[in-house]
Amino acid sequence: MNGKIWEKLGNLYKSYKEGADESEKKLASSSISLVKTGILLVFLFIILIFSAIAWFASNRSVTGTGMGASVQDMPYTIQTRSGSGTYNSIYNSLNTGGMEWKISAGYNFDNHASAIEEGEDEPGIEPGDSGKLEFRVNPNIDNSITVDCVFDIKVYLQSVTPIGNGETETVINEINGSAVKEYVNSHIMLFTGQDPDTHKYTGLIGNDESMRRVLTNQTYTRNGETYTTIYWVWPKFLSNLISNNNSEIIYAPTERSAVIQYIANNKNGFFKDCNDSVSQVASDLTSLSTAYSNSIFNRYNMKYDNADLEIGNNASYVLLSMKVETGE
Amino acid sequence: MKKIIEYVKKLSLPLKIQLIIALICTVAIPVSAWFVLRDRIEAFTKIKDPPSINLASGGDDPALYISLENIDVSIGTDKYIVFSIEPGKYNEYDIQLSHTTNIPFTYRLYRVQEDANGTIEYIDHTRVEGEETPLMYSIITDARGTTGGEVTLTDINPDDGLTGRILGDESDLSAGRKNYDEINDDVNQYAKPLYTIARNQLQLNENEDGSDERDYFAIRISWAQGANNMTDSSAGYWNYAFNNKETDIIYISSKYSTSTD
Repeated sequence: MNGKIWEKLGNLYKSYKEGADESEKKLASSSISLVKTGILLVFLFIILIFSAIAWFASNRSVTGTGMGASVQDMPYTIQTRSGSGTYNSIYNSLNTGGMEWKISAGYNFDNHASAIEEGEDEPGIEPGDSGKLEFRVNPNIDNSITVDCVFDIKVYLQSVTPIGNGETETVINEINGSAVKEYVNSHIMLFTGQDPDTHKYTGLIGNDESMRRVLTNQTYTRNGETYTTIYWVWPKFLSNLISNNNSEIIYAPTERSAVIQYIANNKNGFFKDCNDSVSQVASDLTSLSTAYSNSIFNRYNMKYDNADLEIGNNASYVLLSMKVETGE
Repeated sequence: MKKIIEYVKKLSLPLKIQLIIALICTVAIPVSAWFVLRDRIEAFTKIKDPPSINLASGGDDPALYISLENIDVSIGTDKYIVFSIEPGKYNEYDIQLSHTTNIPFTYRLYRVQEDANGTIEYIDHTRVEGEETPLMYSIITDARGTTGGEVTLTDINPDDGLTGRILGDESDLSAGRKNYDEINDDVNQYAKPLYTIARNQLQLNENEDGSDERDYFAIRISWAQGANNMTDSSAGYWNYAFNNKETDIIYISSKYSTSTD
């Protein structure tokens, strides 16, 4: 088909050239016909492109029906509300392939302009910050759907490099295979609930066997109004996680053993240069949660703070993603 | 293809419009499907610079200008050393002061401010490029968290006071004593530093944007002059300062407050 289009274009161009040699009247009519045909060709071309992209971008089946293409419905749509984040333009430039998590003043990832009204110079995340995000999954085919929500962290470093003539170029690159990514992934913790009175977090979102953070078996009904709220927190001090003084702890006492095991399992993310075994870390932290020991606490505290410092010095942006899996 | 174009050409205007709308719809539907098909949502935000507390000297000088040299204990009984802290984002910080105890100095900490009528002098090296600018400081007598401007330093390992002026822990060090003259002077006896801390100092120049506003402090080093005829065996000899010893080290450190006391 393409060959024919080019042939046609060639013919058109030829007739245009001929027209130019002949009388003005003939030239005018020839041009009009060129415009008409041109519009059609552009449409055809766009259809071709988009059918092709849809086919590549989706792992669902695509059936060609003549000039158009119909795509089999996705079983669900992820819904978020309501506005774009402050760093939306940078996010878009990264072309991550995901959808932007829409945010609002109450539900955001410290990327909402309201931070400035609260006295910060710009929105952004740092140790001690916390907040919540919301989303829902709308089933498109059935009346309800049960999915797993997989959370992941990506970390980006912005660097400015000179490109000569005193000009600089700002580039943002994803950090992969670095301890910094592990630090961010661990230090930003996720919970599913918060006690309305004590403000202590409940329902740690822990790892599955492949060390992914998963919220399993979430059921949503079609066009329902139930949004899932996720509480994120970047504990400022290790004593917010491990202490025999409950007032410092940010999570409910019932979560203690789960949190300690989670920290131990992710010891290389929570602590910089932690050479103790997972079981050693777990037992040390368990003992600290009942009785304070200066020497044991300081050993971990310094490593926790050092990890935070590494993040601050080596990471510029963080991306929290939530991927839906239907378990098919 | 040619047939299609000829067919389209023959269509009436309303039919052509219908055809165009149909084409637009054909394009739009796969496109919107392509967007909603994504199975991942992503929240993107900035990681802020790590907050830091910096120590600096007086005026606009960096920390390297903090100097304790040229104290002549035969002139006067005290000397002020001006330094400053840039607390950045932290509105509360701790100041730790530790010092060796070779020379019997007393150390006190005051909050000060630049004041043309002040009595504490500091020579600035930075404010005017290439020139030394004498600046005067005075104690802020009504500074929050102070007693008449004096910051309360709490001893962490106080002088035990039982055997005269024995600062530091002599028993820890006695085994390794090194004597000046092998007979009378136990040098290491005074080598172990005393630690003091002033917790929860408030940032006076509140600035939540983390700019480099400074809080100025002055260490007052004071001493009692010894009489000329005192000897090593004179009672209270060690409590007096003479110009016969030259070295003490002061450590000033600052960190954000973690205690809520």
